[in-house]
Amino acid sequence: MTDNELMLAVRGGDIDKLGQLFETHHKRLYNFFRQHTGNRQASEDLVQEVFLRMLKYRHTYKGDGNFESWMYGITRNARIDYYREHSVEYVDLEETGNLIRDTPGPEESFSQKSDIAVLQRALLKLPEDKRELLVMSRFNNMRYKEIGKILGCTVGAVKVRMYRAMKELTDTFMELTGGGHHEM
Amino acid sequence: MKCETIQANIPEYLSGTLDSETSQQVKMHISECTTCRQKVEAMNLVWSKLEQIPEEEPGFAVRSRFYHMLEAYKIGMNNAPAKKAVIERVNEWLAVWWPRKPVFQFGITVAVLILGILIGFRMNFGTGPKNEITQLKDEMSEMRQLVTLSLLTRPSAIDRLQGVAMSKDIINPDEKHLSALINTLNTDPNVNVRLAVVTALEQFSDTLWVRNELVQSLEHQQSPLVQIYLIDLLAKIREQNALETLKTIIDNPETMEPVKKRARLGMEKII
Ligand SMILES: [Zn+2]
Repeated sequence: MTDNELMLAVRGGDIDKLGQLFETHHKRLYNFFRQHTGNRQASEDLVQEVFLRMLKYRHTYKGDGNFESWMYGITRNARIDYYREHSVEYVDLEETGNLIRDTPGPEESFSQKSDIAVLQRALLKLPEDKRELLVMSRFNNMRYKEIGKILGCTVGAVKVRMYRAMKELTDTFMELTGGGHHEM
Repeated sequence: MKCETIQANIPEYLSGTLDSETSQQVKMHISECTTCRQKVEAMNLVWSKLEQIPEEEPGFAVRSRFYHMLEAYKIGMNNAPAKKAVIERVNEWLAVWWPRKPVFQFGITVAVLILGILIGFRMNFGTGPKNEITQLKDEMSEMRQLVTLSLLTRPSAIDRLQGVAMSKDIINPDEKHLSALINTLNTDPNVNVRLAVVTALEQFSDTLWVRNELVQSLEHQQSPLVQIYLIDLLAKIREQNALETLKTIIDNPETMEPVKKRARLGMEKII
């Protein structure tokens, strides 16, 4: 069964089918939230919240085949509400120091690992909207057209914003690594 | 193409979503223009590292929380019109969530959410007399207090914050409840939680003993942020009994300067 068919079944009252959707998507959602909040506990709570909302709002599922967009809309609202309730400073940066848990793989050098930790810090330093854009584009592989639909703007506007977000991320990353060897 | 136009295309160039013609143009341009080439290189470094951020497995509790939620939801759907007292059913579900074993320490918040949904259910389907709904509301508010109190004792700061946030919605909290909040204010290890309590207590500050507790708490708080929050609140409610404490804070050589400044402002406001 496709995601679309599963969700249609859930909408029709066969809510056990949500379990299959959970199995397919919860890990990616969790990591998505983790990039956003930098906090594991918050990310786990948010995953739960998303699936709860899917049940609660299942009647709003149109079944036009685009389950992911619908889920993303819910994800986005859950995250925004969460920030509103907990206010950003409660969540952000709480755990960023150890976002990368445990040991690197044998093939990974230490500097590679710490580079990525720095990048995650840089990501969390970005303003909300820029981080969201990068996460959508890079981690969710969404096309500009899709992103534009969600954000309510044109593809051209997404393009411009995306460039700015990438520029700021790169600048922040360079700044944090202290190198500045790629002065932009 | 101008440099500016080239640069705007870099993200798509890196992700390989640019049409081949534009992509060629970018390639040509950066072979000649050092500025743009450096930008592409720097962004490429970051872009490729973004992909290396490892995915992580969520904690195992995520799955069990989800399936418990699903079960509870089903029970709720099937029993919605039944006569069984809501409070009784709620207790059953809470028994599932409540951490009898330390291993099951997932957020109580979910239980509260479900509670909300189920109450909503009853409201929508309930065709019974009005007083039944009123009774439900009372039960709900009682449950809310209970859950809030429990949240305040949770090991996770996020749960405790949730508990504090919920306290704000309790219209007439009893003494036990206010004491729990004050206790959190005085003993919680997390600064954010303590700050949240100060904010939450504002609406209950017309109670005399709460005001006294706030003054006493100010004497003992170590965190400058919490001190400032408390000073601001005491100044806002113009608590005369705080004057002496404020003076002590100002005279204490160990007090940080911003706190002293705030205390002076506070004193002016109260007098
Ligand atoms: Zn150029």
